[in-house]
Amino acid sequence: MIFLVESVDVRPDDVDAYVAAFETHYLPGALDRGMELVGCWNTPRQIGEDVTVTVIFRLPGWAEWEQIRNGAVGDPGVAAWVAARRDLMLRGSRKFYEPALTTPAPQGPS
Amino acid sequence: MLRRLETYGFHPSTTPEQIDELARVLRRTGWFIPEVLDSAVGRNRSDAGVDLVWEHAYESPDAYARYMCNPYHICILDRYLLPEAPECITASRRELMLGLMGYEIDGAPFRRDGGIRRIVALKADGDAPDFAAFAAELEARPGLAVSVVAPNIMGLEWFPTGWTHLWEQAFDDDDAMQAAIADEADLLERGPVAEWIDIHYVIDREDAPAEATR
Repeated sequence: MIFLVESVDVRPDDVDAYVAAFETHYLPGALDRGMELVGCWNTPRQIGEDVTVTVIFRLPGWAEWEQIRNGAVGDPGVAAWVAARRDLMLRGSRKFYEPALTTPAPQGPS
Repeated sequence: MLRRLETYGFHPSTTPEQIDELARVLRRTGWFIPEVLDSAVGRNRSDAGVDLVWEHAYESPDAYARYMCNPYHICILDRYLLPEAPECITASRRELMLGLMGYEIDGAPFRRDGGIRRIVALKADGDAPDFAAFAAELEARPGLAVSVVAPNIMGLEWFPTGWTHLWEQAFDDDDAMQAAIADEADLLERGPVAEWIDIHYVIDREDAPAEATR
């Protein structure tokens, strides 16, 4: 199992448009191709700095991602997503993570 | 052996430093993915609308398949090359149909440590009866340190009307290249070739540190 973690900075006023474009253009095809959405979060909008929107997907592994990635090449939704994001993104990054802990993280007191 | 060539154009906002960084990671791919052989880059100097070329090879289709799943490919190369990656710096040049090209060959006669590489992408005239004889004539041309003509077998799923053949060349230096190709345009004009385009660049290789000290 691996995780795709994508973080993109946008202006506070653009958060809703960015998330809507993600949800409309990218997410349906991603789910169809076998990506599992772990979550989508943003930093607070009212703290006087750009907002970071972070999306995490769970993927079965490197080989499966290669298939998913290839499946996205001809998807018009991905092209629409890339175009929409280009207009809104200030900067961003995508990284892949492998599990570092083999046991669940300890939970705090309930 | 699978010989593979990728070429890239860039967004107007891409900086020279970003292109240098991509060139470095491509050049060093073989350090991290042992299946990637003969990895080198070059800045195209022809009028064709591409800027950077990555030349490399694989021993077999299985080796290529392993490269595709390697984390260096997915995490590092795709960072710059995959359009859906936020840090992608390349821009589509689909109309040139030069993004991906390659051919199959016994051994590695294309191998060079330095000098000038030139790739001529050809479209064989569909009505020509025997392109093979013309290809043999091209391969035998004098003055070329490398001269391989082969059917292009890569990228055709994206560009079905793309380049049918590749003529891979190498020269010791620019003078040798200019001397060898002086009458080439006339030859191609008279041959069973509907269209052609060339790219050429200084071969930029970088051996892994361990290899460099052997």
